[in-house]
Amino acid sequence: MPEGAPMITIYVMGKGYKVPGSLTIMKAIEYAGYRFIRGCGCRGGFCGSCTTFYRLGDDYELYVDLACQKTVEDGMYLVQLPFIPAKKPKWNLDEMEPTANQVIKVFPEVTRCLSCNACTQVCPQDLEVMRAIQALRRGDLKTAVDLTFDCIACGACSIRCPAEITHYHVFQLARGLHGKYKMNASQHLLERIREVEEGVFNEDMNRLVKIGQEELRELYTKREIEEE
Amino acid sequence: MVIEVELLYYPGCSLKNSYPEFELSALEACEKLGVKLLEIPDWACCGVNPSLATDNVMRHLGVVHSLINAREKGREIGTNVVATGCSMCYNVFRRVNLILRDEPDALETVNAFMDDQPDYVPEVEVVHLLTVLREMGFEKIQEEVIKPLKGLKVASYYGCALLRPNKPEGIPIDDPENPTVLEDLMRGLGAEPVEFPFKVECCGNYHVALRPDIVEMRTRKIIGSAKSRGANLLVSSCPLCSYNLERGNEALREEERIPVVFFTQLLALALGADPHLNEKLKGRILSWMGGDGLA
Repeated sequence: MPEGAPMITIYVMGKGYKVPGSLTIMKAIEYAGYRFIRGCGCRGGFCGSCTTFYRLGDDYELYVDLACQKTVEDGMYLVQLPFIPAKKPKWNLDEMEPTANQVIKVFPEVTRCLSCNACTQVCPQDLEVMRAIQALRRGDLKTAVDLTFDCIACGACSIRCPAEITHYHVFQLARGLHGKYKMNASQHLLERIREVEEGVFNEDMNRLVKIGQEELRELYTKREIEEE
Repeated sequence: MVIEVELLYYPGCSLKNSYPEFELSALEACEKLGVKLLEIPDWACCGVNPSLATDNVMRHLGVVHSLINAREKGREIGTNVVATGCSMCYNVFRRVNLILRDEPDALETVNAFMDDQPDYVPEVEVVHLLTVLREMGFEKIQEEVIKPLKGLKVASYYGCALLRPNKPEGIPIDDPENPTVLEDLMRGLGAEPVEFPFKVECCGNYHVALRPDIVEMRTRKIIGSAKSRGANLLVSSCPLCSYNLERGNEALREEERIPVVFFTQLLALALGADPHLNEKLKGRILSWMGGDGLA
């Protein structure tokens, strides 16, 4: 923590805490004495499990960010929604066609979209969520897929949606269909799967399972990383 | 023909997902007539059922979103006219546009709510493709016909969405009790319009979801009437009417049924564009046009 960071006040579930203003929401909540058991995953902005809603002072707007990414601000009233309940229907990609209509058959709620754009406004990834839903209405699976590649399934859109669409499940199906039927198979993945199945890594894997924590840590820090 | 007019175009979800033959025949026929239809970028679903509660503007946002995009695009190409082929979309767009034009409070509410988009200024005009064709002049269209639909007996089915509600003014594209625009078009294409008393009867609309028996009862009556007046075909401008009429056909014996096509398919056929008819039906239509009446 940088020395001399100004102390600010945040509110966690209605109670005020003085915390250093340089922290992320997640670290500030921990600083205040809470321990995360759920609602905290990768701490890197990818897993979507630390969805946090907040208001700022007298501002009427409701904001959403990932607790692990957003720096605290003075007067933040916070609530974490680590889990957005949503039914996920079962599907089998092998028995489906790569069309938007197919997605709508599984998720008929999509047709209830009012174009209110609340989903887009709330998305912490700045995705154009409503455009993607409307692309499905227009029969345009590809656009829906392209617009939602960066979805981290935090569920913020789904909790704001007046049509009760579960966007992140919808887009997962859309991407699954597009990936399976419309994109070229990834050759290096197929090659790696073949290697796994042939047992090329069995020996290394067995060794990893047996070694102690210290050695594992050393191996991890010394691992080779591909150049970007 | 050289493109003379560019119009904005709203296809709607049914044309994109369920009835591509409606959209494709419309686009190709219009091109033959020198009309280029430019799809509104990023249009949204019209919502299908407009709210009848005057203060429920939430239900109108899909239309407003599309109208905002239409207005922006229209300024680029120099038009404020949006044409739609689907009767349902026409009805919803027209209603919402009238509300926004006549009720400043509703417009203000909508614009304040959609604060991440440019304000909508209600100067876009929404028309049905049949109106575009009528204004072009059926005599002029007749001059472009290269394959007259001679001998084809066509019953025009209007349903409700093109004609109702009668009030407020500005929604019906023709006399709601006795419309003739489809018959006039068919005559222009060389076909023989068949008058029948159920051309403006309701098909049962969304009862098809929960009470299909109502739809079946109504559409069987419509089909039976057209058939008894000697029609070869029913022509429609509404995806839901067409869907419901097909449900009626399914409930009838083979010889009692009547094929249902979109008006744009016959327009395309007469103009020498692709009518996007299935081969079997196309064959039957051509044989009816042959005049032997046995197909």
